Amino acid sequence: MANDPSYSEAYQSGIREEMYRDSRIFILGTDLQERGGHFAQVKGIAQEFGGERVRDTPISEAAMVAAGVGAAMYGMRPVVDLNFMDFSLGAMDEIINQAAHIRYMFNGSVPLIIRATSGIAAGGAHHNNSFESFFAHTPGLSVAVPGTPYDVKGLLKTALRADDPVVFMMHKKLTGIRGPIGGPEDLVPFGKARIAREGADATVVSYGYTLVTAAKAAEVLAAEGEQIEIIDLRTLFPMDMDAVINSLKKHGRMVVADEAPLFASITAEIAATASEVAFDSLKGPIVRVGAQRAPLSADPGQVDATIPSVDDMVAAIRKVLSY
Amino acid sequence: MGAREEMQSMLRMMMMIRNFEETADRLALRGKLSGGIHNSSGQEAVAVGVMSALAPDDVIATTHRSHHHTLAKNFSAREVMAELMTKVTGVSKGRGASMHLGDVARGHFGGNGIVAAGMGIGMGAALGIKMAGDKKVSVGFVGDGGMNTGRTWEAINMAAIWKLPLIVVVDNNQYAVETFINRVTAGGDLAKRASGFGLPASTIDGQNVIEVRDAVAAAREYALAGNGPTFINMLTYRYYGHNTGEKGQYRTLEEIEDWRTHRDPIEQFAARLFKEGLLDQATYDEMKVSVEAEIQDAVEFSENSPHPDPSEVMLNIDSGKLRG
Amino acid sequence: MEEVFIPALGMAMEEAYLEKWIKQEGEAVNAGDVIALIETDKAQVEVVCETSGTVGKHRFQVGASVPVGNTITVVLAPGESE
Repeated sequence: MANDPSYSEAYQSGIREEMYRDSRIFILGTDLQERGGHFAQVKGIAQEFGGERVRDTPISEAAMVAAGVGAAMYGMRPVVDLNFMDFSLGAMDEIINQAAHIRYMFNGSVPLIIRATSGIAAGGAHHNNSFESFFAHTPGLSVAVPGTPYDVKGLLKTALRADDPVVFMMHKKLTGIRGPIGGPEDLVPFGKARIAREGADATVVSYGYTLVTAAKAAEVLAAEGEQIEIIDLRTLFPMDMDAVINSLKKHGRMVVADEAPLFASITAEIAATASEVAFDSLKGPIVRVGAQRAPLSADPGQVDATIPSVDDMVAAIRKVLSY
Repeated sequence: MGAREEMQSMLRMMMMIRNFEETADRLALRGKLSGGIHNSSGQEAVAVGVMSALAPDDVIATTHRSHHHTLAKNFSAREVMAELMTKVTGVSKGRGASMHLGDVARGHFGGNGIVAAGMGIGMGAALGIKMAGDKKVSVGFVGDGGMNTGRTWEAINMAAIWKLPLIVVVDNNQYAVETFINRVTAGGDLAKRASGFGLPASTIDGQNVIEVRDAVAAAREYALAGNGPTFINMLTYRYYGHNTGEKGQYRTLEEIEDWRTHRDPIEQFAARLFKEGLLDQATYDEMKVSVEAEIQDAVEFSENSPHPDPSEVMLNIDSGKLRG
Repeated sequence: MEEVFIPALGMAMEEAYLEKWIKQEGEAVNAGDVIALIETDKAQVEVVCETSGTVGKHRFQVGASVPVGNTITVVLAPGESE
């Protein structure tokens, strides 16, 4: 609805409420105080809480995440805002070798959120990587991929109240979407998928902006009388495979979709696992929809050719409906 | 503690570390320590000098070569040796071994397999201390090998702009595995490089435990007064190879012998205490005997401890709280 | 008596190939002498004794793959026997 908060405002709402609740929470990153972050995700927060709790940093990704890791181990609850997920590569050791592994060895916890905007839009190869699978692949990390304003706020609150390193990925093309958000105590747990659309004929499992593509495809097919279910995973680790399997068992037809390169992707994980545990329920092979394994071109036409379109999604669903 | 007791306690700790390391080295060569070790023999004064200047609840974060830091921070020989054997009674409950000694609850934010990563974490701990308003400092240990990786200077810059209570200690044994520091370091002077970040930076004799202690004590006061970080390059030397059993050709036997003979931190300190009348031969001999007994006890304790249960490999990866 | 053994020299080393006995059974040796040559997955390595004395029985033949930590011979001090 037009008066509902946007995806970024949902984040602001969640962080604001939690920062009032818990004085240990603070944010650090580049261009946060005046600009409010590159996606307005913390607009006004510095003005409300001051420069100690919303800290502008130099462009030093390794030091930003190291600062978060050490402060979290000490007992604070930092949020490191990298703005673009692509910039995490400058801190990959700090995220994977350090943040993710400390709890396992060192009798302590790392309550750290690494927030960044991710997903494919415009701007070319250095701002449009899809890193979901390798963060989800790393033991010790959890990965949130909220698809709605409600989930942005609810998942953020859960992450800020747990004791774990969380990679919080917000999709660029969802930045402006609007929708209802919950109140101060409406938390969304990790590992609990959401049925974004109910349907009895086939299921699309997805997350992030691909949910929008899937919803458009479902509308196309609804006009033909096909009822498509859409599952929004919300978090990639932990992953709600029960929800996936339960939906699959209804009709035995499943598409798994995102916009990451198909090879070695999250969709491969889901399809493989679903095939192992629910083979007897399948009417035919699970179909995966994803990107070609190409760096992202800056050319809009080439972008469209790289990632799945509504037509691609419709074709994939038609294929499983044909079983 | 009186001066005599304090000095003797520092000496004994250095002796204990030396005995621990030489014992561990023999066990590692026998294949009894999975993955081998990074031996710190020769670098005892850095560890003992630093810890002597810290309060018990100050934080440290360190490197791949951290047995000496860990023992000097009052982790027992038993729990460190047990960790090298990956026993459940070890510092990291057998999950870390030589390179990953740590216990956050006791202010030890971990050894580290990645060069200079521990120093970055130490900087983060200093940020945590400042945010919490506590009167403590954090020491980030880094080796000479960490002087040419970008993350080191990112962290020092951040500590400097935020005036964090961080003491950067370069445990500078001069060789990054086999690479002599001067071969790969433009400008040559590490303290000068660090001083470009606008913080106090010095190079001191890392074989002199009192010089180390005093430098760190001054840096600690400076940090507690809100002035920010200090960089201290401590020149030291490791007697053994980078890792267990290394057969290197990158330095001469004469060089090693020269450091052992003329700059050994334990012998120098013992001689000083003798001269100042703070140590007598009988006490020194007793220390040697009690250190030997302590390390033998640690080995026996560790050998008799169980390994972590293979069925527990999935425990404590995360808190479980995210699942609601 | 000094046990001369196959040293663990790297993270992944589990055994070594016994390439050559340099010192024979009963031969007098000085501290620092090379007793045997072994080959690991990385390099040829000299196994050296730390004490002086007489070499004991060769416990492995040339060509054997010997697990890390195993004693291959001993150096006996005067008056000692195996």
